[in-house]
Amino acid sequence: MNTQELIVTTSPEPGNDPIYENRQTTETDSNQPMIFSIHVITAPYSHQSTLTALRFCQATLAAGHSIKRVFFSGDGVLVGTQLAVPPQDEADLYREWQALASAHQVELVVCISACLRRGIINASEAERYESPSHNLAEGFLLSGLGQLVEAGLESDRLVTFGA
Amino acid sequence: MRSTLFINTKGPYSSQATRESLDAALASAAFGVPVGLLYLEDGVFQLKQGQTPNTADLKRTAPIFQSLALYEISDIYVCEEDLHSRGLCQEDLLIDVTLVPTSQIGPLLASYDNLLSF
Repeated sequence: MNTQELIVTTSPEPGNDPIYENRQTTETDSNQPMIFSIHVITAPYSHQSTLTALRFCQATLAAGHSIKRVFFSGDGVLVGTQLAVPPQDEADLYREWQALASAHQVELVVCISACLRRGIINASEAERYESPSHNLAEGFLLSGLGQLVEAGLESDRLVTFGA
Repeated sequence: MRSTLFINTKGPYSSQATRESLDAALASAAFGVPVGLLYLEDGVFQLKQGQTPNTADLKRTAPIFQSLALYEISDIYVCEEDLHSRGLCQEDLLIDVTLVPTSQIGPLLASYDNLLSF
């Protein structure tokens, strides 16, 4: 995949329009290894984008770049369940994300407020809310939106995969 | 500090997109990130004043829009053609916005470091 197609790098001609003030985008040499972060907002299997995000991560790592964090929000957090059993002849998105994370030390963060709404819960939250069980898969971390903001600040590229 | 533009294209109540975008924008502002909000397509309906979502058991988002100024978020852009083609004008909106013609959307996107779509 040509990652450059997906990424806005530099400003063309903002001209003297006051909207653009003196803001400058950060330019990076595309030949140098870059730090990526990924934002996924769609549910696994409902849209292709969760699979595309996974393949993008694999391609990014294969090209010598690194991935700081994958942040799942909205319906995207449903990928954090450990209870899903997709058919054997289909890609197993759940296990593939976990394998990617453990092989390359990629942080997989699921948005806590989106999770609580949708019934994705870890042991400590289950205790807090006196829930009968918990289901967050190993390798996923429950945390807040600050993790997305920080990923945007500390990565060269933040790429969203949505519907 | 890297700047972030939040791009909003969905109507206000058919999904959680409105709230999730605002939550992320407010979190970014709390980190000191320069934040812009852009409303395109049906996203312009998010800003319409006079909404009464509580009649359908939905939470009101107007108070969040009205609190953006407290977080020093004032760069709010609306696509001019998308607004007018939906029978709306600037006076129909909850808050002060900057109207941007379609031809200027590209340069606007390019002027931010990060783009987040909701």
